[in-house]
Amino acid sequence: MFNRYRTTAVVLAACTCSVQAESTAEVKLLAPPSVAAGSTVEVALELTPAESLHVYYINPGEMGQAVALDWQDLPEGITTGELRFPVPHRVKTGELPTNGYEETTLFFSQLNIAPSVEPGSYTFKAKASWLACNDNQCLVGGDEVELKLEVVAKGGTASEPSTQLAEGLTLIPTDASTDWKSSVKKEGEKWLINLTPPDNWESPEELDAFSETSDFFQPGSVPSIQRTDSGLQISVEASEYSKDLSAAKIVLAGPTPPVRIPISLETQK
Amino acid sequence: MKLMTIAAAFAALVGLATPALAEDAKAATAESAHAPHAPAFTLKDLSGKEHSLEDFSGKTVVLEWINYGCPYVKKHYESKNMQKLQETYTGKDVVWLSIVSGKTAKGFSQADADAAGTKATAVLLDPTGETGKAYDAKTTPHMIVITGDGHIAYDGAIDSKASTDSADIPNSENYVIAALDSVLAGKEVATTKTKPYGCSVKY
Repeated sequence: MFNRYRTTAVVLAACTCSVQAESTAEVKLLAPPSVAAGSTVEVALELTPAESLHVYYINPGEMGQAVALDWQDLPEGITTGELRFPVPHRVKTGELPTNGYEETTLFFSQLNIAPSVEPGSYTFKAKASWLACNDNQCLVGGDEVELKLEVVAKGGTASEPSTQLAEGLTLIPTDASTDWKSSVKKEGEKWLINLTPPDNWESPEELDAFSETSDFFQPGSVPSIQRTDSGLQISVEASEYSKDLSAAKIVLAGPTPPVRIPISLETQK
Repeated sequence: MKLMTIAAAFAALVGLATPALAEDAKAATAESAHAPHAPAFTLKDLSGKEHSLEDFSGKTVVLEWINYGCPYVKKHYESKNMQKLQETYTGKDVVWLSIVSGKTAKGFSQADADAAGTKATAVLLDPTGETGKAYDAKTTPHMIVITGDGHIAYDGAIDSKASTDSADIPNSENYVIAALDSVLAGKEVATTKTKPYGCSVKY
């Protein structure tokens, strides 16, 4: 079995399969030094792919596997949210269109600290895993990451997130408010998605759209986004595998932070 | 008198049984007739011998795009999942052809196939990628099942979990097994096309 974790001398000794001597990515966890009990804190997995390699978005595209973070042995009273991905780049892996990251990227996960958590130092471990590819090869990568967190009493003074964390968070999509309206219809081989933003929403000049849901947009297709009287219309090639989808989540890139919009496909089935 | 009655009864029974079988065979043929035609190819195996798809006319053929260095292919080879499938179905007179398309074919040798423990009928080299492109092979693995009359009965992923983890194999639906079992029984294939998963074919 091809070992999933960072290939080190220890692994070489334990495994007779072919392994890379160098790591495929460097990873570490970032968080504010202290957090208050009874609060939620944003923690980031900082991942830097090795030279020439890229890792994948939550919807990798025509091939690939998304970056993943699995928390180990969380202390009582501490729960975590799903890993959230910034807007990716459209990257080719060989001839296949995919979505991914070639440079240092911050992926975020929320930690919820219950009010009952006693003040003190806590160490968190997680296993980060990814698939790193270029045009010539793909390598399964992974590493254990650790975080030391100081929990202060509820209502106490916790530290501010660093500039790096704060800026990284602005790149992570937030759920559209309920004021956003969306509708979708299939026209030939394309999805036509109509979006009505809230009244006070100002559209940036440059807009782009990605699907967090696999098999909704045709991988590699660049959506065309037009301004309409009621808002925006996104026109994008449909994936040939989108028939069975009942819902999808898309991300409107351009605004800071990007906006995550749910799309119901029930009427299309 | 008694003999004739028994014979008549037997004939009646056979008469009842035949239409049902004919329906199944018709369904298989009709299904096959609507399925895409499998493009012809002639490729060399690792000993330099040429093989053409038409050599296997009348037999069920599996095409398996490979790259032994790809983690998704390793998932099925290090677990011996693929070799077991190859052995089971070549044992049922299915022809199993592993195909190496594009840059991966360069330097690909018998030693590589031996190291992988392949039980395929043959490993064929497609260095120009022409055959891969003809079948729109996108990933390794990418699986194609071809009926004896030259139609594509299945095209896509080996199974339902697009991961590199062999622990997922027992819990996955294997589309190739399902397609082969249906084709060999003369029945309609339920799932004819899925999204393939694997590393990109290196055209």
